[in-house]
Amino acid sequence: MHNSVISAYIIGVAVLLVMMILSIIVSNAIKYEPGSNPRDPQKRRTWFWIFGVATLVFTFLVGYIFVYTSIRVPSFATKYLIAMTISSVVSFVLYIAIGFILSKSSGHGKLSNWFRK
Amino acid sequence: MIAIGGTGMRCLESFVHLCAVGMFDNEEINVLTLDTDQTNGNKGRVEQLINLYQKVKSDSIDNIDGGTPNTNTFFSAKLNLYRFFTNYNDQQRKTYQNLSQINSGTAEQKEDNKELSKLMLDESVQNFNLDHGYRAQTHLGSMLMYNGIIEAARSVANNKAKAKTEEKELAAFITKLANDANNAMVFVFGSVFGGTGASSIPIIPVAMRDAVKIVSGGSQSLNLKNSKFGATLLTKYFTFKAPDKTQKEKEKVIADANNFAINSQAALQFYQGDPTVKNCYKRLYNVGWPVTSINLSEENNSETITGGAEQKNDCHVVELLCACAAYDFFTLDKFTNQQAVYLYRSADFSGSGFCFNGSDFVGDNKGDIFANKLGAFISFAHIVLSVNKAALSNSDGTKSFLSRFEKQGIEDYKAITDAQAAEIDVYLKLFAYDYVQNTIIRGWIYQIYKSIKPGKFIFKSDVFTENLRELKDMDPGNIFEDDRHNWDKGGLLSNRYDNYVKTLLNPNCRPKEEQHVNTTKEKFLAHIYNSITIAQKFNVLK
Repeated sequence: MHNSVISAYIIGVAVLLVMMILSIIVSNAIKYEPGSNPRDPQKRRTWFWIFGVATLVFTFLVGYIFVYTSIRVPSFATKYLIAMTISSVVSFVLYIAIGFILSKSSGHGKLSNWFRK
Repeated sequence: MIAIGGTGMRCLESFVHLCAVGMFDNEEINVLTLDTDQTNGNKGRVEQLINLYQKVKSDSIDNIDGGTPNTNTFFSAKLNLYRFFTNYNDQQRKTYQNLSQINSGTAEQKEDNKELSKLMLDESVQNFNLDHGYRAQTHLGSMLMYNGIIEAARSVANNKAKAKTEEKELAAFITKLANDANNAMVFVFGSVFGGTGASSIPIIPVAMRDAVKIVSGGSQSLNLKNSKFGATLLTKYFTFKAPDKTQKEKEKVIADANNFAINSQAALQFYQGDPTVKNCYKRLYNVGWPVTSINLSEENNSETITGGAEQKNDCHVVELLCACAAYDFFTLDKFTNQQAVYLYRSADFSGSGFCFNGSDFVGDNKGDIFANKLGAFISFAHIVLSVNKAALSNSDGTKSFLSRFEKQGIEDYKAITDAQAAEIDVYLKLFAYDYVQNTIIRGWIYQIYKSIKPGKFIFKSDVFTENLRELKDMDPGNIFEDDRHNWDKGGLLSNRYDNYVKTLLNPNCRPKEEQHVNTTKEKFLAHIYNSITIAQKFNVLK
């Protein structure tokens, strides 16, 4: 891999970590509701997917704004665009994979609501 | 357990709620309700309560077996109900004169019968209608109750197929007693100042002994020296409007609350001195209410209620104290005494009321257990009735717990149906409160609290609020005066309820082997019990 596109992947990993942490914090901050049809599991699920989409979008946007726009060499710009796209998709896929593992390993806690039982 | 008369039934009601709270661990208790009045409101109410208790523990809707005895959980005792009443509905049995057939035989025999009866009983006493009880005529009552029990035992022994349902149920209770003759423990609830209870307490051990012999055809016996009988000697704690002249003329013999105090005094003298009582009973618990008696008369009721379906009175703390006497009796390791011992306990009285703590009910070393278990059940009731609105909007309730378990991937309790969850809601409404058409219907613990007011009762007064807005905002984890036992507040991003549900979902709260829970509902109740007990930090769970 060319050194010049590594930053696209580093950005992907960083955004993934931030979004995952935020997703965990928000899910835990959503309180258990009383009643036989509580909405809190749905809220946690919704926020999990919002942060998942944000991982995809932010990975791309951060790379685009802070790196891609400053590239002057057209051939390198194309390579970087491809790397950003791959990084965004991989970050998103990894986010879901890690989320799935965390959800299943959290027993019956709040994170278990990310995926329906 | 034998509950006799209206007051005995209300003591039994407290006893059943103590069983629901989980005070009688690992016990199978056979309960006999005994009254002269088949239609008595208090009797009907407690029998319905026991049936509901049995439903709450049973898995099958078609086969209500009452579950099994458990340890350290709600509804831990298994209750079996037997109902008996001395039937005075038939015209030939309505009065003493009819029942004893003093007008039969030759003219000379009739005369002798009449003279003998007159020697013991006033004419009016011989002729009053018996189907509302013995109306404070205990000399007549003791004789007739003994006769009723022996008559029923004979009826079953002679021809079981033809015996009446209530006679068969009495015989079934007696058979259980006979099978466990040497280890039998029998506790009797009843007042000493009224009619049916006061009449029956002295004769119950002897009547049971004789009935065992009859029902078993002489093959079994009940040795009163080996078997353990205990009873409450409950003196006057309520009053009602004295019957007016018209009612006195109409009824001839009627219980007069003005005589309750003197009745109580005479009864206590009798129990202190009577050799039969002293030899048959091992423990007698003196229970009383030394402050103003509660007035049961309703303002709009023009007549004194002598019994019947209308006799449904609110519960009183002395009835809970009687139930706690039964707890003391059944949890005693050894009975070393041959003759009756007389026991009492006192509580602090300051200002204008009693200040009760857990120890006042069950003794110093068990006060925490009582506060933990009763507190846990009150919290459970408020979660279901107030937080999950089973009482406030007739929705959700216990179903909310099942829904939460399902949403969090705990599938152990999926077999509990909505109808079965609703039965638990109904029980909790009878225990705590219900709200119907903007009016509160006080359940047992609310009635107990009302009887103590303005005194204090282990928990914060807010726990027993009747204000709709306060009920909607009820915090079921903040009930103890001692803040150490209130649930954790939960921190910045949480609250008490949220924190409690985290505890509920913790694997530590799952039913444990030593709790001996078998049915799905028993496991469910044990799970709830464990979660609340851990949240209360009483450290009574092993």
